[in-house]
Amino acid sequence: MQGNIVLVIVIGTAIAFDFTNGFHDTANVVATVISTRAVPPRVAIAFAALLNFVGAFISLKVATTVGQGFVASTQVSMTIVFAGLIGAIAWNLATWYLGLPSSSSHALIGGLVGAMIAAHGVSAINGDGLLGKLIIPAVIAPVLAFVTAAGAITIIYRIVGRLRPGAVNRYFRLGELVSGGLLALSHGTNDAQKTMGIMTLALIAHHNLPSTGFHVPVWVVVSAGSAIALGTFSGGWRIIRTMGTRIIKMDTAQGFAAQSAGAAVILAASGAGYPLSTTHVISGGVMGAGAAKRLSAVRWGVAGNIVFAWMLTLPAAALIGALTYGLARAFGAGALGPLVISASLLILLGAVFIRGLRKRPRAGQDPLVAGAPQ
Amino acid sequence: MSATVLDLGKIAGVVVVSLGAGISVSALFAMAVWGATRAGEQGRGERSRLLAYAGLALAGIAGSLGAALYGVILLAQK
Repeated sequence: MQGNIVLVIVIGTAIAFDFTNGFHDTANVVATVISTRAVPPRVAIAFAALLNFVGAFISLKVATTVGQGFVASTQVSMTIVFAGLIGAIAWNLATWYLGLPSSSSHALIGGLVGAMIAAHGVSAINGDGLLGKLIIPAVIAPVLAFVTAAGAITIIYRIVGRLRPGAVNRYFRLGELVSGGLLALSHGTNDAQKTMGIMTLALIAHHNLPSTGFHVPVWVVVSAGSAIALGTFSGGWRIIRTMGTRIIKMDTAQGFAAQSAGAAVILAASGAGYPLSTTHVISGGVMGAGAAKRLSAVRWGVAGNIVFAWMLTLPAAALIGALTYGLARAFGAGALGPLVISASLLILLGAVFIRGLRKRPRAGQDPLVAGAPQ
Repeated sequence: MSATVLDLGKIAGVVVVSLGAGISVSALFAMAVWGATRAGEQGRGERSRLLAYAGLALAGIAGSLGAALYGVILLAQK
């Protein structure tokens, strides 16, 4: 009975994490479209939410990597998964509040690794998997997006540079709808799968699924896709402002190049099973599209803050995950610890959601100007 | 660094596909924009030029959309 209660709490927490992931990462998907005025903010977010949902059904390779690649799945307990999720949610909310586009993926894996170390020590961690499938791709991905976006915008300017800007902007706004759609689809594919992997781990720990093989049930795919889509629909205006205007001032062609580069990198990595940070990739794409035009166009101070948040994410989420595990165990091995912690989190999340709904932009209001919603 | 830590072939594949797809789709769409803009600038007596530019625009759109769709289908089949 206690095990069932913990399982329900863990699945609920995983869905809550997925919601915060969508909420936090909305900026990645829609910032360029909104900042270049390609579509109204509400339409962009609804469109992104729908494609996030569809994207969740495309592939399961990343879910398998998250479930099997970093920790010994046979040693995972539901309290460990729960503590890892809390670590990720807490870090997501903190960086959202500060307006920093940090990585939800790295927060999730950091939280899980921290809780695992607190429970079983360092030996339960697959160091090779962590380095080869997470840390090295995390370093390569933003650089790759930077170079791809820089190459793309250089070629675009060569082809259309001498044409009338009015017509070119009009066509690239249309192009941004397609590249933004592709980006939303790739975001749903890569990010929703991380939660699917975590939920499947919890089901294995509860013996609902065999530990051999890694089968993700359909209801897990549907619930993860729905949660990330709902989170995306709720929006996170603080980060949209950072991504959309504070790194560079973009024209429509730059927005198109950044989105196309981001979608290409995320889709290619998803196909290879790498759980990339979509945040890292889009930030790299935005910087590349800006730097190729003029190095000084990029506000390197803001970019530096983002890089600092990236570097902090894994250790900070791991620390919160480990502390949460210790706190949950302080209430005993049963359901009381997760119950108390998740009730506190639910209250916090409810407050955040209501605040987000109240402060969403009204029709015609510009979310990118000072005093706009958070 | 051991081979089990880093699958160089897989990472090289991601790099090549990302660069190839990201840059070629952008180039194809830019070609479409160029064709469409130039087509819009043609006068009444320049029907053949107009058709050529419009054809280029359509080819660019078809190429960029087709490449994007192909990428998603490939991913779904993996």
